[in-house]
Amino acid sequence: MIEVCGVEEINQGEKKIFKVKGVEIGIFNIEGEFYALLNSCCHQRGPVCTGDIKEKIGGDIPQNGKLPDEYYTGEYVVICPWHGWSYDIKTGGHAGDPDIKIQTYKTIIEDQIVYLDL
Amino acid sequence: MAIGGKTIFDTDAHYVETLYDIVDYIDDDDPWKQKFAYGTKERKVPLSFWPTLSRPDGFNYPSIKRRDIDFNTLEGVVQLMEELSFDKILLLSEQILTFAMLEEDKRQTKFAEAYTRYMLDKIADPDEGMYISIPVPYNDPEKAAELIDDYGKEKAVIGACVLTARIQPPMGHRKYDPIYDACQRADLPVLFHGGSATLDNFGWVSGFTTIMETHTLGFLFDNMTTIANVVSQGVPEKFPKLDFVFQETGLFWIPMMMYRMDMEYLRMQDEAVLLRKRPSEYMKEFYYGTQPLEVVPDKNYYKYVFEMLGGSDRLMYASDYPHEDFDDPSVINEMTFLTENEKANILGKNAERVFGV
Repeated sequence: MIEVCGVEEINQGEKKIFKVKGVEIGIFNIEGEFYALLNSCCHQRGPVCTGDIKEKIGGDIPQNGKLPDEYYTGEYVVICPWHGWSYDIKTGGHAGDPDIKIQTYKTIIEDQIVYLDL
Repeated sequence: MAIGGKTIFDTDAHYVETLYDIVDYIDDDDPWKQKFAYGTKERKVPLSFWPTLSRPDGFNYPSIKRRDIDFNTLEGVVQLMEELSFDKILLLSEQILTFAMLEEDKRQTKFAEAYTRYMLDKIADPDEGMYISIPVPYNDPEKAAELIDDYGKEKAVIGACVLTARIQPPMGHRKYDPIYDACQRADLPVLFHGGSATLDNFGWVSGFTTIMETHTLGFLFDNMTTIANVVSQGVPEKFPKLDFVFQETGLFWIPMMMYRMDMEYLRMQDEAVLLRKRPSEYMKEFYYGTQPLEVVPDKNYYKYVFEMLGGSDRLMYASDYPHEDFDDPSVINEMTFLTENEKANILGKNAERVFGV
């Protein structure tokens, strides 16, 4: 396990980038749970973890002739600032194709410290 | 600044000029100067005089920030070149993207000349690898030819850019012959740059409701229309010394157009009387900007497309910076099926040869 930071360093809904063993990793605090993603977009290796965190937008198939209802899904995505590719922060899967995945890392919280299980 | 010993020549970056920047380059005794000056004092594009574009930046969550570079200054151009290791850059106007929305002739002609004068005075510097293209005011072909005659011999001017967004009639029409004639006189390649990527005022078809649709199709409609018309009307035969470069349309559409046009030509040759060979043979003599490179499940697909369109000698790397679908030079450098020499050609040497720099 590698110690990364104190839990108080990352407010809810925010993230920080850390260099761990020479690799940039984004640590995200989503509703008190901590997630870790490689800071490299699957598209052109943009600094994805530096992008905005947004609530994912979804939609329901409408009745014929009606517009789809759009709503916030309660899931959170981080959006690569270079081209807009968006990824589920919990799974690392692309919001439009979960088979495209950013490397994720397991986080462990002990004594208010965030560790990475590398 | 080269990467791995390869010269990097970005053949399509958009300098984000405003009307504020160029208004001083309209003559004081020109009545149109006051119109360009109206409302531009705070570097804004005046809504009452000049159209604006609805684009992906505003619709994709919106969260696209790219890099912290102000591409409205010389310092910004220098910073981009350093950060992406560009040795040379060909700058294209930003406001040219609105040309299809300008109904009368004068705004195109006045803008094009003032922009060219501004860029030559303030930004372009061939000694530092910074070049420009003349935005072609195609609504007035005679004026466009005069502009090319006046500025086409400047060392920093290396192309004449036609924004092909829904030009009607398309660019193969004989009315545009003076433009091609002037480019041939000045030894300037013609750049056909797609641009119908906006949701509102898309122009080709009404009724799309997402930018995903219009951004997918607009550039294609523009340059497929242009290439079909330019080839069928025999423009390469009428102007045999001209080089043609198609920009910002990606690459996969090119083989499709080659084979469809060959199919039609072989049964309707009597319509295309100026052609001396199949359409695909002309298209293999054109050049193509690589951006935006399509996202494919198997990178070998690129290899087949490159072969079909005439090989890596036809391709020129382009970034399209600062737009939201820009490509990094790594997209070419990481194509493992290319030899190092082929990568060098695409990243810089082809453009150096065609543009003569």
